[in-house]
Amino acid sequence: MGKLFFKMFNNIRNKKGVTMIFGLVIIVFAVLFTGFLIDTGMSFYVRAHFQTITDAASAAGAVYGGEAYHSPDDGVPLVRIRREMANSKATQVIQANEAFLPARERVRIERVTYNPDGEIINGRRMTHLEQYYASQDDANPSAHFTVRLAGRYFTLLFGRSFFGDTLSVNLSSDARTTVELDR
Amino acid sequence: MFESKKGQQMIEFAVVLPVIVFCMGLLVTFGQLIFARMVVQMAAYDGARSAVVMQSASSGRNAADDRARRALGNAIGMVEGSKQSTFSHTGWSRGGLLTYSVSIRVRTLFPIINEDFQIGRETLIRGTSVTMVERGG
Repeated sequence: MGKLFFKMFNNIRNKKGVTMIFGLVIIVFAVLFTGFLIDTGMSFYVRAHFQTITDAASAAGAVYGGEAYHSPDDGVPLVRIRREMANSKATQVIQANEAFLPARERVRIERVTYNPDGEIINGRRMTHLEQYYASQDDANPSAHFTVRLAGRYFTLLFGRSFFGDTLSVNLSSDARTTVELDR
Repeated sequence: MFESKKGQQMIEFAVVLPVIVFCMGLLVTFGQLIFARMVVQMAAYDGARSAVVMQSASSGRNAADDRARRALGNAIGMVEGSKQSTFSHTGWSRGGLLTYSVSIRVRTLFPIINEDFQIGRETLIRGTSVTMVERGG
């Protein structure tokens, strides 16, 4: 096989322009590779930015909505995160941060979830609502506020500018803040 | 036309070399910029987080600047003394929003088109973080 290929290649007598073709191929590959690396770097940067937004939103929601109270049944001191307050404050923080995202035209926040169902916290699978309230059974009563951000980064080289919304990088970040009772 | 092919490889290499060097330089410079942006963004976030737990806006500002300065120690190519920051809030009480921005000038390996659309080796990098004020008021 190798011999046959060598023979075929050797039969092409006129080799004018071969260098130019190889040069063009190398340049095209170099440009594509450079674009790929730029997009990879940008997606890492946007992902890091997403994480700081999620952290800020989670802390804001938990602190703003966090409240210590006494159980109306037996007066046991407990803690909770008021859902409406926490969610609206976290939304406010996310929207304020969104304005400072890099490459705004190529980054999109698509979904924000507060306390997603099925989170496993301290070995227990919790529903959406359970996470806002501390359980009386816990030795250390604590409430949790998780923020999950999902979005997309549309690549520079292969993004919507060339082929429509074909190639994008999915980004997601999670942050959880726990509010504990100060005993 | 050209019967002697002596030095042909050297000429080809000389043509390809600048392209390769250009691509390598572009990659290194871009990596440097991305890294600087990440560091500045983290500095802005760390600074803001340090500030929002302070009792007053003035002590918050000091805490933010101090924390950001320490976080910027990792920035490669940062121009000495170029750090600037802005600090604004909607009210220093629980629930108010603090916007903290940090900017530095970074000297890159290769010249790039900077923020003023001029070619140069220095460019401005800015990071901003919005966080909720947790104390004060």
